[in-house]
Amino acid sequence: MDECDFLIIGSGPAGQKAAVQGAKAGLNVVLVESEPQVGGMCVHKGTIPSKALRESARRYQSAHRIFKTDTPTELAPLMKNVNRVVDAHDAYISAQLKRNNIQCIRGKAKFLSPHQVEITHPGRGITVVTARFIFIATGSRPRHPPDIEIDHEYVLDSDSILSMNYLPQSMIVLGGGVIACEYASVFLSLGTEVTLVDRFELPLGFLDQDLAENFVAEFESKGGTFVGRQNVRSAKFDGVAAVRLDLQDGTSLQSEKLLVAQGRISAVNGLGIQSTGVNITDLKLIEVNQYCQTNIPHIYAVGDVIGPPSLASSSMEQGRRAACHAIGDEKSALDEAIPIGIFAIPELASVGLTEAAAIAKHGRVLIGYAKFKEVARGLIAGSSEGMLKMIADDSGEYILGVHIVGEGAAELIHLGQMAILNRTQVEMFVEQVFNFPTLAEAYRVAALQIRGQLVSIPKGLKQDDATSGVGGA
Amino acid sequence: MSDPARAEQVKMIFEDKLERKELVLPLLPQVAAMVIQLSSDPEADAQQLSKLIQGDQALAGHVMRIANSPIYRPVTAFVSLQQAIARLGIITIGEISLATSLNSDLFSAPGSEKLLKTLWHDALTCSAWSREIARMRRTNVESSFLAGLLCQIGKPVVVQGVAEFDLSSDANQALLEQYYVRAGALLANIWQLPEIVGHVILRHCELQYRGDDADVVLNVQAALSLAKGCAAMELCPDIQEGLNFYPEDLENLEGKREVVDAWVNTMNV
Repeated sequence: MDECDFLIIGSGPAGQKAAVQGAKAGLNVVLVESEPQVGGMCVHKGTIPSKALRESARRYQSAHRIFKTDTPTELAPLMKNVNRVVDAHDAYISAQLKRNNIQCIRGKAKFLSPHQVEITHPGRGITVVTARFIFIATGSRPRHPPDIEIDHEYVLDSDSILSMNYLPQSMIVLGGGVIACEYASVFLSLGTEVTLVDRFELPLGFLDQDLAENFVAEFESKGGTFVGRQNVRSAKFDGVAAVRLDLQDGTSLQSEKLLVAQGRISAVNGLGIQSTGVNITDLKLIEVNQYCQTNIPHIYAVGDVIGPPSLASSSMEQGRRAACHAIGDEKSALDEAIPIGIFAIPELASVGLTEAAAIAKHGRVLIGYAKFKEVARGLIAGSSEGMLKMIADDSGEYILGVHIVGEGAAELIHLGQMAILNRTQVEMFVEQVFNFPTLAEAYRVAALQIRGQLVSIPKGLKQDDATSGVGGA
Repeated sequence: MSDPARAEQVKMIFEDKLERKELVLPLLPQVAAMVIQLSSDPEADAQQLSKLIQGDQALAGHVMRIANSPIYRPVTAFVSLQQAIARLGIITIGEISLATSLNSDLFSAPGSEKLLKTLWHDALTCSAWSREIARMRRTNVESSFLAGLLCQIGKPVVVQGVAEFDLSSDANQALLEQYYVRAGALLANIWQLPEIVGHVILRHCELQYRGDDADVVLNVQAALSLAKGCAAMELCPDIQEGLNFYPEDLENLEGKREVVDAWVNTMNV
């Protein structure tokens, strides 16, 4: 029987960081992964491959726009780039784990008792490991609605979507979350006729409404169709190489393939958690405190298994902080200003409060907008459709939220994040010098608009122009 | 001439024909070519395939018989090919057509008809398992089906090539095992089968293969074992590990045997 200090179940972003943190503290760390490669779904089926495909789609889109290239019909050449990126990332993670003397074991873990875990190796028997601390980082898997049969041939989920050999002529994407919007916009860019169907009026409901509306407008301007406020009655392969989707209002849609992207559920099945006494919520999420510690003090849970925000970035930090807590190096709880990046086309990013949340919390807020077409770099880069929205308190001093749509949004958001975390004043964006031409100028434009709402209205300027950015009561 | 000496002589003749690409090879049936094209090209005309099937009386009859068999569970019997296509879908009908048109009758080997039928039965079984494995692994289902069906297409080529020499069954079997991969690769080349099928034909015996299309090669390797009657739990550890199938996955896979057998029996009418 093997013994170790840290046993980490799952090698995704959360598990990796917990493992590395433990190893750096000089502990004996064992990392168990059920898949052949380390990295978890993030590297092999989710974040990395979908972003790599997006990059291929963007390059294709640029080439098509400039050189009028043909529409691709095969997915395989695009996937070659994706596989190259995935392999490189996998190699990087493996090297990092090796460098830190972390013992990686391939197998499926199951608790025998609160300190003992049985590991089944595919085709190679079983071993049992006893650990002082155990970290559950098994991630999540696609949710399959009970009334839709996912055959991975005509009806696919986010794990099987990239197994397609060729680009379908048409595709319905069911769902309005991050995965649904990312794939919908990527396949649309590749020339597939895409219909996005969601039960809400707008997709990406957790974002600021301006961003969600901007995404839909962009999606539709490129030929996509968004069908909101629709529940699905049935979805099945109907013959003649098409999937038929019957909607609640009696209408039907048809497409060559259907992608079901209606959320993900935590992957806790088969872990034998009942042998530990760890509490699980009704939503099958593992219950944890601010340090990601379960009710059994030596067992931690990090990443998607504990629920939102379910971002690779926050999962990494949860893993690191949980490991620190276990070794007595207590960190403060994660700050709320965690940025969200959505790698759709166009890219979206958000940090802090949305306009609705800010109004609910602060009553009156000031809003500054900057359209990328008013920023030199936006024009140069050809991303003139983008915009930045800055939300400040009613004194116009402090930034409450920043929301960006357009290329580079996920990078650009960090400036807003730092401003929120450090309680930087809006004025700083007016007074400081930024590189020119860069999209950071958008912060300045938005800040100026907020400042403009605080000063007296100059003669000749219409009242509407000066107050158009005021939100709330 | 003793049997071993004769077998050696036949081997040299066959080797020479293979080298010179002078083996008598069957033409790829038009319907099969169309189905293969459909599986990798969304522009391929489904309507045209439908017409092709309708234009081949024997094939159309066979497709109708299979479409009306219990495995496809029609509520009421299909009365026309168009109706069957509309209900089952052009891809399912394409699969049926492929399995029907690429059957043992493509090859002529007097005295070895039974062997040809067995080989075809094995190919169908392999394709059905390969499809189920692909679904479970979230790998491409269409490619895995096709590769499973054609991975050992070289075997009937060899059987046909040596039939005239009237060798003992042991000698025939030895030649079959020695040359079927090369013969299959030659046929894949002449028939212009998709690259992925060519890879699987060449690599399906290499358990440690990790090159291009390794996922599909692995699906087919496992499917071949299952098609030979190996229980899923008894698959060799390398294959279990490669598939990343744990005991519960293997149980699920074994649970598909009835579906696979039913489909094969239907196709093999």
